[in-house]
Amino acid sequence: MKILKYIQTSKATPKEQCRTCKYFNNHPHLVESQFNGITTLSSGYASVRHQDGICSKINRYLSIYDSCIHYTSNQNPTNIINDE
Amino acid sequence: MESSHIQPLGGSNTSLFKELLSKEDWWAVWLGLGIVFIAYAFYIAGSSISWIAVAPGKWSTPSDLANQLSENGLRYIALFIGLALLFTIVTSFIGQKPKAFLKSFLFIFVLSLIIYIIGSWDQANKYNLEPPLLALALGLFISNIIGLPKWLDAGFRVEFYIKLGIVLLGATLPFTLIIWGGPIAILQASIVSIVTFLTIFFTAKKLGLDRRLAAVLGTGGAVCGVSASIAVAGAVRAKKEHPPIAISLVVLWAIIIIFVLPFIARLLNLPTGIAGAWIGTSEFADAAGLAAAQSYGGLAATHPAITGTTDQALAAYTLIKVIGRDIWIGIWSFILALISVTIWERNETNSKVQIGQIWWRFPKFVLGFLIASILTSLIVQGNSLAEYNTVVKPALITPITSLRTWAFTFSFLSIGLTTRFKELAKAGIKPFIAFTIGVIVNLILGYILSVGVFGHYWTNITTN
Repeated sequence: MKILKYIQTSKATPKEQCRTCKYFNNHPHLVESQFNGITTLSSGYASVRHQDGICSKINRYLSIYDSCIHYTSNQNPTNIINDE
Repeated sequence: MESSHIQPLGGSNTSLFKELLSKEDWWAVWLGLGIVFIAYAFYIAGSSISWIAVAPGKWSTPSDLANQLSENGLRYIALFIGLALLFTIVTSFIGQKPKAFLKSFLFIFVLSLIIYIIGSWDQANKYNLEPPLLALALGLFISNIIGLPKWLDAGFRVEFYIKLGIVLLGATLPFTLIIWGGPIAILQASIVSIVTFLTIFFTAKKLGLDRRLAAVLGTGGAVCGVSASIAVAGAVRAKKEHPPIAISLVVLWAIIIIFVLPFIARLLNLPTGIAGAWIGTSEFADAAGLAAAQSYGGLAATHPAITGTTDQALAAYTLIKVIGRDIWIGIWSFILALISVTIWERNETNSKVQIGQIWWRFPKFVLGFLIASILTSLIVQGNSLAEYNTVVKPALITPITSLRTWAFTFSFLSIGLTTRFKELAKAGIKPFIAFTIGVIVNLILGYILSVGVFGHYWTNITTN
């Protein structure tokens, strides 16, 4: 099944992912301030949001496990909440 | 958006324990189950938490009301202190400033008490003063016409209050109802969710919208509103401007439907169970739907043409919405993420799709709802109906129901207080058309399934 190669089942993940990228920010406060109206019927602190965040380089809303060619290591990862 | 602009909440190597303390879902579970355990401890000791779980009784004249308030003043103060203490601890863990939260919660509590009192007036239904709609309308008026300082937002945690209320609702529903009703709820909700999603998605695509925006809009209209939209937005690598578009449309239509569905159901004199099922199928967000379901259920007490009870409306609504729709959000996210990575963005990312997101994105408060239902079912087991009505219900179930109603009222009021139409993102005409067509399909199909196909089941749904 070709599709299975796109599915990650283990926790072993590459280092170069959004969760360690300097352009990525997943702080719930930031998400609530950027997405107007989110607190009306949901929340930045909801489980469904997991640890998704905003990439300031490509202006996307991404999973912490995402990755792209713009990856730049974050030396001071205080903008990332990573519960793994 | 560099790191230096952001207040850090945690380090990079935090544990599962941190997840349990940083998500509103888990806090709703801890607090809701904690309340159920305390209520049970008092119950087996031959007492009850009813003293602190105070609520206004029916009143007909101002002197009645004054007597009630003077007799129970201390109990209301104790309830406020108890809830304020618990909620301040919870919201501190998720990053709110305790001082700002306390001031805001005092504001919410006082307004909720006023709404509760108005709803308890014996003429309230005659003037359409159903507490959920009143809370919502008052909140909308205050936030859009009068305006409030931004710091007051600290206490307007719609999702936390509604999730806590749903966990407490679980404690008042028999688990057998969930076992027997769950499959029907899942079947009905799945039919509507899939049809609505495909309608919005393909309409949006036909109108030339980005496929990721189409998916974000589709799940917002089909699964669980704003929560589904943001979950899927992260899963499909949506553009930053996509979630706010979906949020605007969901909020707009959710607010309209809160008022419209109970109104239509009332015109048709639908039994409360059927109306609850229809609202559960066609309303987008948990809090918005509960406002509509509770509002309609309350009408049964004073309108002889409407059969059923408030609990039937809430049970049917919750089965469809929570069991039938909400718990599948992880599956939707996983499937759409897979489509996104393998088809839509094959050349833009080399990421793999995490199968774990089925659990990560699972709305954990549902676990609290189920556990609370199992606990009370075990507690109640062995009692005759007469014992249940004379002993168990007044000492255990009624106080929990009262606290549940408080939590729901805080939430309904907070929906209104956080809905600032001027601040919502401009959605644009194409997303509006796609979403609105989905809403129409959803409403019609939801009506056919709730009334025609499964009507007999929802009319007779048993809640005790």
